[in-house]
Amino acid sequence: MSQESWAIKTEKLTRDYPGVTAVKELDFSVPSGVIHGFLGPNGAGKSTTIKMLCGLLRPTSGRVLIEGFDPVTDPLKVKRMIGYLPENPPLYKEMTVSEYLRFAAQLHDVEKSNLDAAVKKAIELTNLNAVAKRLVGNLSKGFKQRVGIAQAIIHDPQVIVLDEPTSGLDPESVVEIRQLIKNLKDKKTVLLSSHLLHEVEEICDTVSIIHSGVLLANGSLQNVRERYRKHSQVELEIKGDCPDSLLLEMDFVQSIVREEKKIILQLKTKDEKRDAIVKHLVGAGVGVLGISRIESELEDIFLELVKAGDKHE
Amino acid sequence: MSKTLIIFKKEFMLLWRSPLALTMIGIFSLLAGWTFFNLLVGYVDNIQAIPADMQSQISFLEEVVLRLYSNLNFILLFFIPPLTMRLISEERKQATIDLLFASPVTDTQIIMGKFLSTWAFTIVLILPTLLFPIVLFWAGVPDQKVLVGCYLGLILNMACYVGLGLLASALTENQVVAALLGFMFIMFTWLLAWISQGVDNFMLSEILRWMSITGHFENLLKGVLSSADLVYYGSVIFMSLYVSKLTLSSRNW
Repeated sequence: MSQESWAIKTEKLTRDYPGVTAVKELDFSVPSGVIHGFLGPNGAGKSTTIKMLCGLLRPTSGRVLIEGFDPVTDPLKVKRMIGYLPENPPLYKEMTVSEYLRFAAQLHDVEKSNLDAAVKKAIELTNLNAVAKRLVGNLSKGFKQRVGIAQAIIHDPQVIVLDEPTSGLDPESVVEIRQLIKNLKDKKTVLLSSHLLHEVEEICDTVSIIHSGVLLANGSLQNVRERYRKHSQVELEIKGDCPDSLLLEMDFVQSIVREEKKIILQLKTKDEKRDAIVKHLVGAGVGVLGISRIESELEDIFLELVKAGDKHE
Repeated sequence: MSKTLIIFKKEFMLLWRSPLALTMIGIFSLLAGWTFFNLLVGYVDNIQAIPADMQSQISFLEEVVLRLYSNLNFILLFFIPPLTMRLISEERKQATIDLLFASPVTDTQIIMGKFLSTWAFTIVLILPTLLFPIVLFWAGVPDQKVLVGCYLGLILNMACYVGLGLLASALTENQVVAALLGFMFIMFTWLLAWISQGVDNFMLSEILRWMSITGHFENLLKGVLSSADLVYYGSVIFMSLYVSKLTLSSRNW
């Protein structure tokens, strides 16, 4: 991937607090036009990293590049290019939704002639029409979150950073906000910090996993799955009987799970060994109707990486 | 539109949306009116209590006008910290400051917008007291120079108080602590005058006296505005805003 196509890039990004290093020499990059999942357990350094990306916090060493610009040397330029939704949306409860969005637009240098249109567009995109005239303080949590997203996109930024955007929302709002984030993808780069692994799997194209301030994995979801899975799983569809003893004759089979007519084999190897399995079973006179690989769950990889990170510490 | 003006407008609007603004104007006006009334009644009582040939020794200007504005200055001591306590500390506590920090806005613009909006509100706060000069003119005390000095003094004092209150608010997330700190900072500018009286060293005593706000305010009450007074007010306002800005920027340390 060429350097020009990176929307976000960090180079040995480090942030120290008294007595603790929150982020250690973090190197990761996010290609333009993707939704990037930023994963890590609590205290992993996600929020500190996000604050450095958005220019809210200076790195102790290393640097961040947003569309090629460093928030430390070009803070105002970078802030114009970024839309940021913190974990707790920064909302003024005494303002109406329209007033608040207008204020956010003015802060982000939206031209006076374009203010009304920008507010209207953000309200429509986040489906806030029904509450546009209401005070922010009187809205439900779901609507407040939408107002937070609306302020993050009001100035049409190139990069949008969302910190736990679906946290604490009802299922209907979660679905709507995920769809909204997916819709942003066409023109924007979105960095989505989340602890909901299935959410990241559902909407993200690329992912970074950090733990204790250290990057454990970075890349496309498929690459991370391929690279970090330690065991393969295959699903077998068999005609007739197939005893466990026959399956366990293959020394690379670790365990067997039977689900109605299907058999799931967990292997000791990263390699799926589909050829060897078919050859072994057919050789023993068992009819194989189908064999397929089961994708590793991101959750498994995440847990394994975090566990490995803990041991390493 | 300048970012300072955008923040100014938002702060000023939110102040008027809170019950605090009208409550403060109401209570301040009542206290100011009561003070004015009492000073007038006290003056009339004093005049009537002494022989006619000695009445000219009691100055209406000193007994009513100057005392009135000194008292208003004292009352403001209790009104400004509750106004300034929320300026930064509430934004920090509610995490709304992240919107400002993530926007292309400088820390100086944030500080200036908040300072100017609160200062403007304090000017609105004392507007009802303009009734007193009208009464005084009607009563035949048309010393315009003194009255202009009194209001200029109050306005400049309020700028210092708001600056110091803003600094207190920048130092803590707790609004009550911010109010108490603000009160202490303002009190300190008064206490310096009293402290200077107890210092034997002439030079140090003079420095402390100059650092106190009371002497400069008294000059203005008398209708005298010297460059030294302007330097003093400018220094206090600049220093309080500059340190507030440094405190805000300390998030990066």
